[in-house]
Amino acid sequence: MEQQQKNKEFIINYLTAISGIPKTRAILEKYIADEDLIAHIESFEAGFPRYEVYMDEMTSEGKRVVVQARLKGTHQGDFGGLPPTYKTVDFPFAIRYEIEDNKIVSHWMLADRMGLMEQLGVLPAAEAVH
Amino acid sequence: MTNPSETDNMPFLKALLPGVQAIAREKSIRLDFSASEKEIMRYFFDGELQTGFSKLISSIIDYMPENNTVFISAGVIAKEGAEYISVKIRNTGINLKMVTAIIKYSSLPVTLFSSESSETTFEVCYSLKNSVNIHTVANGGAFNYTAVVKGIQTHFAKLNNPVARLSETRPKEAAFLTNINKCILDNLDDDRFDANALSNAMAMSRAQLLRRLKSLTGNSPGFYIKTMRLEKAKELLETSDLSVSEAAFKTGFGSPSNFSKVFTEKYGITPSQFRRINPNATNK
Repeated sequence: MEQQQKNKEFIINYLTAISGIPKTRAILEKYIADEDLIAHIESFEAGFPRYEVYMDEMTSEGKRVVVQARLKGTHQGDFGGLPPTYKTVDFPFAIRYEIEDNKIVSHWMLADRMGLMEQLGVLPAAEAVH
Repeated sequence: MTNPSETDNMPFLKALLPGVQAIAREKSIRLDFSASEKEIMRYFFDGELQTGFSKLISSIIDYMPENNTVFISAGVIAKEGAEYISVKIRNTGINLKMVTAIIKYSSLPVTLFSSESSETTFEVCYSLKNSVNIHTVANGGAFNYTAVVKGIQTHFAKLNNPVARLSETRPKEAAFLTNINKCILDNLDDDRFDANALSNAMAMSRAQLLRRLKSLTGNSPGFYIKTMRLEKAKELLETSDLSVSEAAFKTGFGSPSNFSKVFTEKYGITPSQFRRINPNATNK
């Protein structure tokens, strides 16, 4: 129970620390030992510099913390080959972290990429369902 | 001059502390209440506010590391020509500015007021004149806080009353428990009346008594006696003019300091504090 609480605090501190600032490798390595996650963050940081992460919900179990979150940022850099549109996006994603010795050692993530592309104007917005 | 239909909201705001004490104690979180006014007169205190504050503070505590403090401060502020009650809730130990869950799931008009490296201040700001919940106003009138608290207490008292629960399905066991309760109540002011004395009075061995009582209530005889002493003492503080010391002696606590310790452990508030916030206590 205590470890789960500590893991939750660790993730709050980590996401708060990287939100709204340039996500340098030095800062990321303070919290992350998962190269895939670092690469993923770096690719988003390139497209959405200083992006912020808001934690809408959080659950902790064993070594894992699952966060339902939102990424908010402005598309100012190349993002997967897409030149900057300077549009501000706010889209949801869910991420599961696995924590060992105060480091994120692995993760799993699912993001609303379709929603992101709609907000960037790359895809036409889906019609509202009535 | 104060409108006669207005009530002081401060006791309700202060009562938030005992309401969340249990969850705070579990994480060794200290609660600190302060107010810039002696009283805050408002037409009424919405029931939703009470629940909303408890949930909000509990939610903040949930994300906090152990051994930290939640500071709650209440005051009146002027904004755009109107007066508002401002309740600021500041936590130490962690910066919660990115944890939107706290604001998202709160029913109150809460905003992030400020944040520093390892603390956050949230503010709940609501009108001094109008209800936060318009529906409550439309339904007309003062929210009877005391009546609702009493209703909830009665509901849980019934749920927790094993005699009432057993009387329909296991009448023999209900009668047994009634005898036990009577025996304890008859000897309540005797601080030497313990599990041994109860087993003697019931003409049972200590082991028999333990087995039977535990199967019915889940508690040992010693714990059961202590709980009855505490409940009676609490009732006396709620309904009588007895002082805290008198209530302690009347319910078989050898000393007021021991009573205060045991009472605080169970209810998360000292007997004197309980007496002060209790609207029904007669000797204010």
